[in-house]
Amino acid sequence: MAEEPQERAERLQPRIVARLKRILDKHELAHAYLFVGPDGSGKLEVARWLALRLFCLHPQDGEPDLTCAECQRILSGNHPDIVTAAAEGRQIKVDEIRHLKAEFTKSAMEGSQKLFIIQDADKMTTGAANSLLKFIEEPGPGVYILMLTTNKSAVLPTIRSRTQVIEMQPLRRADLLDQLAALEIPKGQRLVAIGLTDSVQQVQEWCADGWFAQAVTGVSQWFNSVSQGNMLAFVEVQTKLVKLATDRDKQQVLLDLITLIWRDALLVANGISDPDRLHFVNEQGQMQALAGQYSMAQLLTVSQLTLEIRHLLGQNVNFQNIVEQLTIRIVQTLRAVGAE
Amino acid sequence: MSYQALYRVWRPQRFDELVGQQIVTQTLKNAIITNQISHAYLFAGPRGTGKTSAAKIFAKAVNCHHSKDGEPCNQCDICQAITKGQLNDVIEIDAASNNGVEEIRDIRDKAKYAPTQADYKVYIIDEVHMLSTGAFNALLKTLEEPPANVIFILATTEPHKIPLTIISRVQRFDFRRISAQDAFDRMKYILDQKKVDYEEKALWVIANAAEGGMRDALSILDQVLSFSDNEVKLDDALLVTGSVTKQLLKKYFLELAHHESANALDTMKDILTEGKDGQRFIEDLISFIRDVLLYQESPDLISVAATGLKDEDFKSLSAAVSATSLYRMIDELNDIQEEMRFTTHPDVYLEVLTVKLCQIKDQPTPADAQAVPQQDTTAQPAQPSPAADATIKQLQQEVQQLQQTVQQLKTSGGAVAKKPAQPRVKQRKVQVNLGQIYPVLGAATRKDLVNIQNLWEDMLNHLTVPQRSLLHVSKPVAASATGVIVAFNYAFLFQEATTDDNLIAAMEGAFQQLMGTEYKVVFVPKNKWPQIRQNYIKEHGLDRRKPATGKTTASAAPKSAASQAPSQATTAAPASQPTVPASPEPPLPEEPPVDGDDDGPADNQPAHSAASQDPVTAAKQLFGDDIVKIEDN
Ligand SMILES: Nc1ncnc2c1ncn2[C@@H]1O[C@H](COP(=O)(O)OP(=O)(O)OP(=O)(O)O)[C@@H](O)[C@H]1O
Ligand SMILES: [Mg+2]
Ligand SMILES: [Zn+2]
Ligand SMILES: [Zn+2]
Repeated sequence: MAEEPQERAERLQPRIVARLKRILDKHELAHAYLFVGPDGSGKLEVARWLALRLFCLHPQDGEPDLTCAECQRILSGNHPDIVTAAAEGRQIKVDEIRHLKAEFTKSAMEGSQKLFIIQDADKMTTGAANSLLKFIEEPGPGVYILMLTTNKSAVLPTIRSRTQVIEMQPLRRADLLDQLAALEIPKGQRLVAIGLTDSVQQVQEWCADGWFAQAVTGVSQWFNSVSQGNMLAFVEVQTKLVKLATDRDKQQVLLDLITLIWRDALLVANGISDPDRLHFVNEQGQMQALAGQYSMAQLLTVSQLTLEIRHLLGQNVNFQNIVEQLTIRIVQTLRAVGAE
Repeated sequence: MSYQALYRVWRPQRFDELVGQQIVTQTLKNAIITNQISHAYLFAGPRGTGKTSAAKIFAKAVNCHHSKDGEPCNQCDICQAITKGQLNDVIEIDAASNNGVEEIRDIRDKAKYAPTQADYKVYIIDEVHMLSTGAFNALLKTLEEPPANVIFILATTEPHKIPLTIISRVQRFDFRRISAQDAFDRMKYILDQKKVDYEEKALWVIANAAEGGMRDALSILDQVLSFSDNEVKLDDALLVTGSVTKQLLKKYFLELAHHESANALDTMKDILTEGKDGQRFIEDLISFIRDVLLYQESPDLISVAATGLKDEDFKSLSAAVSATSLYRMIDELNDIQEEMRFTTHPDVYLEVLTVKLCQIKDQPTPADAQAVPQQDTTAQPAQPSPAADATIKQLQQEVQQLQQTVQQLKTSGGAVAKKPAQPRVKQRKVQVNLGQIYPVLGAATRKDLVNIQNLWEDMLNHLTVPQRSLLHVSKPVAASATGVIVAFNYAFLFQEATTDDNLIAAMEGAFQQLMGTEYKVVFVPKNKWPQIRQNYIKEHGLDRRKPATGKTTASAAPKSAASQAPSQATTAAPASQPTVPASPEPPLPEEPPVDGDDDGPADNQPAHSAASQDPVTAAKQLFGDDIVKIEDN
């Protein structure tokens, strides 16, 4: 896609870009912001747009011109006054922050501007986050800090308190579906995918080599067995799901699919039948049947069980173990009180 | 010229400008007036409540030659240099960035030299919880042999990370979270000064969203201001804070109350598609329900103006649901809040929550009681009934057979991890503060308790009507010569009381008047109390005359809280009894808060000596027969 960076920011977050423009016009840009939003919501795009706009020598109608020397340096990714930190591996460590802060004080010139972008702010270690507190509370004139996160509550309260928190607008479901359709992703998969992410790019990656299609089918089959209290589901964990769970990201997607399909079942049981609200539309019939078969309390218990599995993966419990245990506990729940 | 955030422009420069910290500021001013300066202070408390500001004001006040009533003049050269951060004798250190031994040793060496311009050299060691162990040791040495005319002020949001050896050498001040009222007043003041228009409702929304941080309130206010030209509007405040409007909350609440799950799910969808913040929504809903509960208890417990609703609204809302159900809702919400903290898919949680809340009924049917899991973050099946046992056996057999099948199917050796999942420990927002409880317990006597019981009514007479009704369901359970522990019947009221600084201050003030000495008040939820007391006895032994440190409490409590969970799930509370059913109680903190007493470890020992007594006898001696019996768990 030959989309200019500022076009992307504006397409993804029109309201926020408009707001920032007004703030810049009034010269009221705060020194520290925390951008919050899921993957694909355009946090980084907005940050890039802001960088261009801030440094551009000849902004026009509130937009960077993209041609001046400053814009060019930013576009080529080597502007000395813009420093970016991102998680290498799972964390941002204190040394990295220290290094960046040093970088900042070194060349602080009179009247100049500096921009500090921290991606994955929630991935900072305690040490790293704490070592920023003084710095982001009262930085020198012309210094701006943008922090980006998918999960606001994982950012230290002392950090949040020092920033203006800007929540990205959620993408509209229809827009997202259109974009996926344009990439020729089949309808069934599109509907499921938007239940997991807002990022088109992410979905594209999952769909490579037909992996996502297999995952959706695998989870649906497992669901059909397990929701009948059928222990065949236990075998399906090994024969279908484990084979697909080749790396950590894929394991996560599979677990999220399991959570999502049971979420659909719960909604259907509560009388939500509008296909626009559901993701696994092909299973809707089966779900309808479950509503008559089990009590709401049972379905609730199962949904809650599926909400716990992501935590387990986070605690390094083996994927197969998680899903097998889950299968047993679901069957147990569905059989224990039983359909009368 | 860069824009200056409100919270920087409006940094308090006098003690009087610090809102919500009267006790702290009064004591500090007295110290200046009477010239009784300690050589080391600890300022502890939540983010954005005035610790760093107070440290700087204090640095000025001790050095200002024109100080009046304990306040700095802010005019003289010394004051102005300190405000600008240019006085060499006032040194602000970022402990998070300079946390090594070397850096602290360096301070030690330099602290020896007398101040050059000012009377006192003041070291403000901010974020002091980040010091390494080595650095703390180096600091300790300095505090043990304080150089003349040097004052250390340590500031932190996490006092439990400071070694006790340090704590015992400083004078400690606890900064409190800023109440919505104080935040509201301060914002009003600032806006009036700036001549900016505002809707009061907008300020309430901001004050509530700030959750006790004054800086947070000003950050939000700044952002709301950036939306409009010189006006603070309600709509903007709702948008910036991600708050759901009261009308939408009311609608949702009534749908829950009437068990209309499809409608409630629809409302939830509207809330989510507007991009409201899930966490904020839960918080808003909790305080909404809290208001309804308090209104049920007594209408003057809440300030209706601060809620953005009308009196009629509250009448109909509080008629819609019983207290029992409201308590259950709050418990569910507290649980989910914690679970949601680390998810990137909050929507599903909120939908499941919605269905769950719709299931809450005053009269649980047998099926409900059996199957609705009250809480199930432990890796246990919810209801071990005989029927379920049979199912489990059958399942185990099936699993065994299946595992053999699977074994044959296995291609690669995807080994199954043996380690069972760790049940996660839940945390509530307000926790029991062992650091304050243990010192009282350590010096508790039966005589003191009786004395306090006798004074209880008199103390109540010093309070306002709402404060009194909050204490309706509480009573003193242990007391020493310097403090009392008060237990609340409901966990929820415990939370309410603990965050009500005015209440604590009023009670302490009343006791001080009645007894003529300073007196500390600490709260606990009643159903946690037996456990706390038992742990204390176990850990400290009543015979050993050990000062209460709170140091050894780390492991026992959270574990037992988790292991109690499955049994709680089976006992459905009778509907008529407004207990908090199967409530996951506020667990004891994971890390023990260190001694919360200003005086460090208590040096006057409890009067009893109970060598070789069993804990129960010992406890009876300590607290009196009736109490031990009643509280038996
Ligand atoms: N009690 C208060 N009264 C008035 N304003 C306050 C108060 N507390 C904080 N503020 C506002 O918040 C800003 C930051 O306060 P301060 O630096 O003193 O907080 P802190 O307690 O040190 O917080 P942290 O633990 O996050 O460092 C102040 O400049 C002021 O605008
Ligand atoms: Mg501070
Ligand atoms: Zn340009
Ligand atoms: Zn002065």
